[in-house]
Amino acid sequence: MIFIFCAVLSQAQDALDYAKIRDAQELDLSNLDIDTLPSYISSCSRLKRINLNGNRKLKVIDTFKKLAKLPHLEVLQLDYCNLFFLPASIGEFRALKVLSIEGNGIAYLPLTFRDLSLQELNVASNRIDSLNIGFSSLRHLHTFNFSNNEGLSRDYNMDLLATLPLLHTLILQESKSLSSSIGKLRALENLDLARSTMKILPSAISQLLTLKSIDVRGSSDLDVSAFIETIAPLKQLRALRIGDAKMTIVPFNVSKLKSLRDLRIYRAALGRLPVSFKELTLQNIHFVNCSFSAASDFFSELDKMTSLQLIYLEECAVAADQLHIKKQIVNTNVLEQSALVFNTNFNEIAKNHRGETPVMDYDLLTSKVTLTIKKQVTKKRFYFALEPQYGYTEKYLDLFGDKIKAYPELKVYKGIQWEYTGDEMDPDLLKMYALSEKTDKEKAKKKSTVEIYVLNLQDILIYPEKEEDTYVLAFSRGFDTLKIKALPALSLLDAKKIQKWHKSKYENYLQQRIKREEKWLQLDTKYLMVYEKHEIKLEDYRTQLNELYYHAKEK
Amino acid sequence: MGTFCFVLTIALCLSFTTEHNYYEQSFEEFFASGVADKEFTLADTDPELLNAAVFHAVNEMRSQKGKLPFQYSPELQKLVNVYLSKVENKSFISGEAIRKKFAKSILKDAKERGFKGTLVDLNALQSQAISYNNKIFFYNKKDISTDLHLFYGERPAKTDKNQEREAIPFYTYKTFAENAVAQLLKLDEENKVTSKAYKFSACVLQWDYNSLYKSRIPQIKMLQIVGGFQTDLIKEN
Repeated sequence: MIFIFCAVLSQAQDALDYAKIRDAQELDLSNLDIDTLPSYISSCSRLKRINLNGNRKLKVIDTFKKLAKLPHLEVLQLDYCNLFFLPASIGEFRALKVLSIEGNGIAYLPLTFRDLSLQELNVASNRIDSLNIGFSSLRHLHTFNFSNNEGLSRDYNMDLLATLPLLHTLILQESKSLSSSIGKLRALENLDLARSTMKILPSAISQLLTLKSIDVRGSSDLDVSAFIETIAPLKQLRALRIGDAKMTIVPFNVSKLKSLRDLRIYRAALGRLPVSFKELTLQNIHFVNCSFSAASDFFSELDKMTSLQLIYLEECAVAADQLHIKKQIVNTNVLEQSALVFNTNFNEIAKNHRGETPVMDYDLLTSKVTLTIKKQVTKKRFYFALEPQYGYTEKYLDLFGDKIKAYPELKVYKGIQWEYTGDEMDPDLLKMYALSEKTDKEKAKKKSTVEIYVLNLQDILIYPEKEEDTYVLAFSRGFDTLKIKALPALSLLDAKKIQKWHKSKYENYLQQRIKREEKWLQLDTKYLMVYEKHEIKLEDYRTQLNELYYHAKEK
Repeated sequence: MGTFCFVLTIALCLSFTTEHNYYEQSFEEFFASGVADKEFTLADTDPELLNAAVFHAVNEMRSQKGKLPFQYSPELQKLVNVYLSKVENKSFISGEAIRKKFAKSILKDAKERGFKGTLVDLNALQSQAISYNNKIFFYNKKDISTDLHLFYGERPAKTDKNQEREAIPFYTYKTFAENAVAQLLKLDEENKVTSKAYKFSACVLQWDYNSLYKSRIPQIKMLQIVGGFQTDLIKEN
């Protein structure tokens, strides 16, 4: 035991030798049990990639402070480091393009996340329930791994992801359910839903018209035929990965995937191919870890497919004499690497001790804002109320009342009754029900006055929709969320006076809004200062959790 | 059958090509074209031309007062046509009564017909269809030199040497429109017709059939709807 420890220590010392790392561009310090990085690491100005995976004793705040000084750091890997939290200094990694923090028991991404310009982000196997609103600022993000997190099925998270214009690869492995808001991710090309426990995927997947590949392998509960019906309208779909130990037949309706070129089947025990299979215009077919009850017939059927160019066999139980066909076969025995190494222990420990997690003394920022809209269908009037942002204690205030502090610009319209001017109230209300996280939709429909909308708000905006002579009350939740068209119900008669009223109110509103936004910026700065102090408590708490983790591991 | 269809098609094409769209012209172009300079009679009235003449005369008046001319709104035109059919048999002597009748529903009705603005109002008036000018007149059924048998002055006595009297002439479309606009200005207490707040308009005119009787001066009823945007003065941010 002592010998192993010494060996690891000498490895770490060797790996961190200043002479060796001074001019390095890449540094692999994975699994070295490092607790503190040497201070001179900050002077390795050429460093672009650093791999710190598996260093569970790493001091979080210290490590991030040192690494933040690396001006060219583009890739940072901190998988399975039991981090528990991300310090606010993450926002200082301005050159960072790839961040991997898989399996760290992290529950919350700090506000400073919005300052990054990440292209790839892996937060798999953490405890994240709601992505931070700053997430929508990651305009360059193209690959995101959110597998095995608590917030996988949240509409809110999908709405946030839908704001990312370049996001083309989304990895949501281990999903228990999937939000139908996934249909809003219109730029998505690759969707990985491997090892999900869903029986049916949401029909919204059929709206992902740019999707090129989809992976559902290992999803043993999935009704594959229904799944194929769902994805059949996707004309761009080129690659499909399916299969699990229960799979014995290739679904007959697979022929509906006319654009499919690459099919990979995993761990299946296959009999005959369906007759319709010939209608596919596949170019490649892969079998990984599969067995075939009638291999000769099976492969001779494949041989008849004119478009098929290559058949890949990886770790398949097939005798060589059963493969006498004209097609080219690539037969390999390389075991596929497991995509995820789970670190459930630390996640479980962090989760079970949630009640003891340090709470910030000054509850300055809560990302969740609750908005309640009461409807009066008969009069076509809406009444708005909200639970405000930034730690104000008032609950459920009249949105256009006199006590609003979080959005003082709304006071301009104090006492005004907003009259609904949209085309149809019911579809708008349905949209609200769909966005609601708490409301019982059926109950909400029956009542004439209900609280119907609970959401995370980035902002509340009012702006005129001049072509329709109305205002839009926009409640942003991710991308393009709830917009209600409404117009103040005025008792004025003179048209000129009405126009002047609107002009002066709106100008006043804009002035107040600019002031409020400036104030919020100041509050953000103050918040970060408070959060930095809070981080020290989190670090101490994390040390306790880590001790529990090692104790459990020894057991 | 084929020949019939061909003829029908040609006829339809001709009917489309001869249809005027007076609202594509500015008021200057419209009046300069001379189309409104001809007289209209009871038997020969072009309702489209009459509507357009009043529409452009209103714009001419607005222009003289330094206001932008109204834009023609087909949506408001649809609405004003419907409203007129609803009050076809009513007198427009009290324009305010007509306005009140539609006040509650006018915004909703305009929206239903696709009008986007939320400021909508209505003017109703009744105007004399001939150039009578409140002079003394008489009705002479036997004189068939005019359609209306209406003449200026007292009925000539049998002893009068000169039995001829001047027939009250019809207006031209233009003169009628100018007269109607002058009347509109007098009646429109809220200055809707000259207000900058309204940008759109449509009007419809129709003979008042109750006035086409013997010794009465024939009248034309007019409904005008004006529309605008509440948010018009807000500058784009």
